[in-house]
Amino acid sequence: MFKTDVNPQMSVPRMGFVSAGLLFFIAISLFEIFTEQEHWPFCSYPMYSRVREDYGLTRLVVFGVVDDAMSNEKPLLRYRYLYPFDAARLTKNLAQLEKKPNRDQLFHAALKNIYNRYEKRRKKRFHDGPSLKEMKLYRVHWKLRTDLANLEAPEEKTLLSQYQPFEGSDLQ
Amino acid sequence: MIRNLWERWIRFWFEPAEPVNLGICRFVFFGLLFAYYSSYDFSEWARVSTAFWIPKDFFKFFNLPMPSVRIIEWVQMLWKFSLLFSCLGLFTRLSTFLALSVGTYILSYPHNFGATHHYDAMIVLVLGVMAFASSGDAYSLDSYIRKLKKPASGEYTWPIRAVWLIISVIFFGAGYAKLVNSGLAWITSNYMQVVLMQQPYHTSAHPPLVMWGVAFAQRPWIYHSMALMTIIIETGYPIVLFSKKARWLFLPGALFLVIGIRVLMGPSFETFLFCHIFWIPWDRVIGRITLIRQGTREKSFVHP
Repeated sequence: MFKTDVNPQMSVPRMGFVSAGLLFFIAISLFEIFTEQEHWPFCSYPMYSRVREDYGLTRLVVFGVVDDAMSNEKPLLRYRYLYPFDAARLTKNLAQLEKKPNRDQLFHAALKNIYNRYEKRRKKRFHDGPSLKEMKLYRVHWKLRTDLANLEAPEEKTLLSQYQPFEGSDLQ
Repeated sequence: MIRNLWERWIRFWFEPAEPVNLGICRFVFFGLLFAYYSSYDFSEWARVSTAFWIPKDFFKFFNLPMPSVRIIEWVQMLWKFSLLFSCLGLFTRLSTFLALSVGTYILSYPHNFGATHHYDAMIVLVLGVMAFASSGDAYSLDSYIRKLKKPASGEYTWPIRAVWLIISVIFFGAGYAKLVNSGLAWITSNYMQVVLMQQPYHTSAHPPLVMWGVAFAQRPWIYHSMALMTIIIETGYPIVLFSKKARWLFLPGALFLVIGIRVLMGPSFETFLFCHIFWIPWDRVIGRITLIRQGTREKSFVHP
């Protein structure tokens, strides 16, 4: 081993162990970055990296139905309504379920679970949302607007699944 | 040349330092993590339907099943205690090792429900550094009980610089991905305008704190400048490892970027801010505070 004028006050095997760990981290991180792979916690951080100049937004969104009128279908986007999901994670999850062969069953189970947790948390006053009689899953398309006037009324809506509980019997 | 490289390597990573900085970094870092996660209940994930369960990375590799509520409750309690003990520096070796091993499990757990969020990856990597560092040799209950007074060593330098490296690689990765996938169009196109307009539609984990982003989206010079600064800060961040002058630009710039993303767009990277405490020269901060106190005492002695 070369001699240096720095005396680290550490044993050579210990320095070798630490150096090997550091080199491993550098190698694996650069591999992930240059090959655009993700093996959490080693990530390439590609979010927001691909330019899209489309002023439209298509996503799978859960709507709560307050009563029978269509106008009372509200998108459930707030964290406290979907907890522990947030709207972004839920949308990505539902998009993955959509690719599965038994997607109708999975969507139904998912909506039932979201509904039950929403109502349970509402009754415990963890959020101030209205009581819901039904839950629906839509594929929606928004045309992005700076005044956000269409936030609750997207330009296009396609129904994918719905869940209607029997008079409270589903609530655990 | 190899000798020269070796010398530089040793000098950068293992130049002897007092244990003070690392001890305070441990105390502040684990204290912040404990405060941040103490109210978060991971067990809520065990209550969601199995329909949502899509195993990823860590869980897939070890073929781990969806755990029960009881298991998650115990695991998260163990992790939170390990954070608290690591902060206090009590059984530091064991606590920091538990903080890493249990933390890797509990932090990766929510990723199995549809998306890997990136804000906690840096935390796990820093926990990895702290698990192998001698961080309990100062400002810890361990050192107080054992009356430890350790001399300067490279053991107190490499963990701090390893955290610098982790932050640098992560920022660089984000900047590099933008340049490779979109090139300069990331700055010159209207993409930043689209991103700012999308955020109120809940495209991120959290909504923006203020709606200024929508107003900024109507002013091209603002959103193009934001895009340019983002690329410069992210891609150029690793310069701070070698240039003290660059730190005066890139470190405040990175903090401004992370805070700006949270305020204008929503994604929360508070944990990135926690890791930046490793940049603070705590020994100098303490020295300065001591000097000010002494000055005040002397003044109050002269002018009672």
